[in-house]
Amino acid sequence: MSQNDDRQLGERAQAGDTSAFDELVRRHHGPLYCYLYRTCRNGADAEEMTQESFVKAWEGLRGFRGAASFRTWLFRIATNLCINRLSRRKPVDPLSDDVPAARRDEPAETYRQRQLKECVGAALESLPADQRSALVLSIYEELSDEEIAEAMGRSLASVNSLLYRARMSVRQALAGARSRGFV
Amino acid sequence: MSVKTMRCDEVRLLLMSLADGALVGARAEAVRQHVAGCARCSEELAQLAADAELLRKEEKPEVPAYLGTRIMAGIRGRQAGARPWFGLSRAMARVAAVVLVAVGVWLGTALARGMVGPQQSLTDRLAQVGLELPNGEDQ
Repeated sequence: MSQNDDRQLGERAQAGDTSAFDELVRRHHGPLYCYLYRTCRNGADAEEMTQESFVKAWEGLRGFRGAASFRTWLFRIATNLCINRLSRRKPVDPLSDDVPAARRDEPAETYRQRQLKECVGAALESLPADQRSALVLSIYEELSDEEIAEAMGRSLASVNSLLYRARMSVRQALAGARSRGFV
Repeated sequence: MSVKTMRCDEVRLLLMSLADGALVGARAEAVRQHVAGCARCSEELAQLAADAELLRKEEKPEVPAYLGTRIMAGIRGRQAGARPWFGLSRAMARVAAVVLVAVGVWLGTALARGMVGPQQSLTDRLAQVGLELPNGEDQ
């Protein structure tokens, strides 16, 4: 899959070719869902926002100039939706210091893995929406800083600052997991 | 930004992007060169890379089955809903409906006032005021 292919498909879709847009949906709906899921931490919300993002993209195809890649343009639509939705949610409580005990007959390694997974999830969830969004785009979607800036409608310096604060918070959260021997 | 002029505090903001693989090109190269000669930044980069590795251990979410099909069905549904009249868009159909109603109202009013419809002949109208035309002039 190349950006040129996407651009051609985008141009055909702009001309009203539904099958070209169908192909763009087929290519991008999986990564977009994963991004939204990891950012909003909820499957139903992620599914709804994935659908909404593509509907907005279809309706706004005239605004797609091809200067950005279709993927970045689509992620920008999704990021706006997601940050708006998250800003209406109640903030998540800080990480608790309580460590749940191992389940009955749970092997030590399974318990450690489960705790680590929960620590990572909680660390991400504790971040403000914009920091989480930037971090997910960077770590999981492997976008470059420039692409993240485009996808978030921010300057490069602002993205670097968001990522820095996100990573510092995550490090603090993961320090707890390290001190408990989960890492 | 050249390597010589980069200070630790400048590099610090970019280290995490380097650890995440998000820093590319000349900037990435400049930061790598600084790190190669700076123990503190090198240690920081190792720590950031370890954090990133931990975060990447989070499982990939499972994409719901048929999500793509449902997205396209929704788009095709909206597309069909957007062309209710002979291929016109919804907005154009609204304008056409308003114009049709306006023409209907005007026509009804005009008919009621006798502005439109069969006209009286000149002979009949003159007869109403007691006059008549010479033979053959009402043709």
